[in-house]
Amino acid sequence: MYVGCPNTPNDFKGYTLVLPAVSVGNVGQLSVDLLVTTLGLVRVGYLHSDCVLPVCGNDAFSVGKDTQGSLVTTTEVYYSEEKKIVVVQQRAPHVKGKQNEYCTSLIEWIQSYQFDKVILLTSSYSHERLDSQIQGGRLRYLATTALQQTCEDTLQNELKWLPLERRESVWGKSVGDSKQEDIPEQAKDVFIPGGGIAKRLFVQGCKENIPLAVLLVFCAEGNNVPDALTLTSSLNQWLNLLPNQSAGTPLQQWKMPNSWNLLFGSTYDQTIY
Amino acid sequence: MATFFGEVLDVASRAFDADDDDEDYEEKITQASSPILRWSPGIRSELKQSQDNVLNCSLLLLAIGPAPTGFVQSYVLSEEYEDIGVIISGLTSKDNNSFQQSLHTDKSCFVYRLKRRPDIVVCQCNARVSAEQAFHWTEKLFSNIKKSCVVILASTQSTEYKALEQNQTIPFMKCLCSSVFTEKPSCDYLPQPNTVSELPAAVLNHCQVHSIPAILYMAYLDSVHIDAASMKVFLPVLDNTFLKEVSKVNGKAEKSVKKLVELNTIQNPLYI
Repeated sequence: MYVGCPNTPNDFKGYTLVLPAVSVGNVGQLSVDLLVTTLGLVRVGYLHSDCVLPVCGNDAFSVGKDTQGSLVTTTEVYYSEEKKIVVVQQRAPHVKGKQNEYCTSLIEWIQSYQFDKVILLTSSYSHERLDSQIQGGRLRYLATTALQQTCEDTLQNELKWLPLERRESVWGKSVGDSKQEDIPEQAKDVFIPGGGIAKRLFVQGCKENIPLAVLLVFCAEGNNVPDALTLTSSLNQWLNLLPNQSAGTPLQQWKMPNSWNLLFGSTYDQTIY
Repeated sequence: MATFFGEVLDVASRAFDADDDDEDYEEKITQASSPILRWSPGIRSELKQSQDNVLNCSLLLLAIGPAPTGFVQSYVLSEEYEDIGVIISGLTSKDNNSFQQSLHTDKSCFVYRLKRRPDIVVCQCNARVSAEQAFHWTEKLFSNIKKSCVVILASTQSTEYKALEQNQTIPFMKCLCSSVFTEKPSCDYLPQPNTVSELPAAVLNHCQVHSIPAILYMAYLDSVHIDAASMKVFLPVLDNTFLKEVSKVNGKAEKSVKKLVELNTIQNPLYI
């Protein structure tokens, strides 16, 4: 699955891995765009898989108006040796029916490269919130037992983040669903509507004892740039990625890439009117 | 989601498909056939004799879609060539395959080799290869071809092109190339935020990941059916080092272009 670029490091033991899930509003992916652009991360490899639809383009992270023709593929891996962080950017949805296979391959890659912790950035439909979730912050997190051992104190007490509320299925366990019994206790009743592979990866992460956290914001489709800024800033509070904890609003702290031009399509030809 | 008038609507996400959550869905996917590659008997014996089971090839030219295949048919395959293989993908139990790309359910893409230049392999892909099959289709094609230079020709509608100022003369061409491609392209690079998807993207991604020099020329057309202008937009590609010797811009090519346009017009009589 992982193919490294020529002449690049191949040892990420002890690094933090940040991944996006293709979710409502593409918030995880937008967030990764901000991380790569602002921190100036360098491409180190690709996740070459048949589980993701193909897409490519030019100069996603270039600065200014010059078109240099540097190709960007479907799923790329970026890193920073200084910050000890590896970031994956995925630009296309999964092939229907191949999400489980993708999660399995991802888990195998994570285990073989011995990442210190894995953070999945995603989002969830805001219209599916419980009454208790409608007020207050829109950020929630989930952590596997393996991660709770090292980071629970930071997440709950220092950062004061709220764990995602569990939601028991309306249909209960009486509808012959044998798959429920396979799910570990810590992953039971997790409900992330619109979250993409977040739930699947979390369940597999619990089974395989991966130190994995899922970080999500509640949002709706629309202009999701503010949601991405919220998610990235929260991640930064945990990982301290920006130098000197620069003051200013999230909009000032994070640089937006060229691929965000014309987010809502190009202008129309005025002469048609 | 409740609307202003009080009715409740189902909310759909442009990014996330609710079907993906359904675990049973994985068992319900239509079983369309995976790509199958068949080489001609001559090529099979050549592969057996070669060291790594690979075909010696200095240039792989891949044309995807009606306009690119029409262009290659007229300007590159105008002289003698031999059929060396076929890739079939996406066949379901209800499809009929004519092996001549004459039925609308045809799913075969043919591979040719020029007799005068057997190191140039041409793949004409007029049948639509779905995005889900594109990865495996590409792996199949490259399984027996040496890492050589790859030129991909593709086309799409000009309405797909996103730009701040829409002042391009349609049809026009833009390119993307892998990082190890060193030659000068025959047109401008595709600017942000435009992207390419499906088979052309799958092939270019494969070349990028495996460090194969490759260039994709994407033509933006305004006509749904092929016409002479749509095919001739690729003419600057003939300046490519490898294609200079084999391409022929002559009367034979013009006749072929006219014939292809006529054939296409007969099939689409709605707007004569």
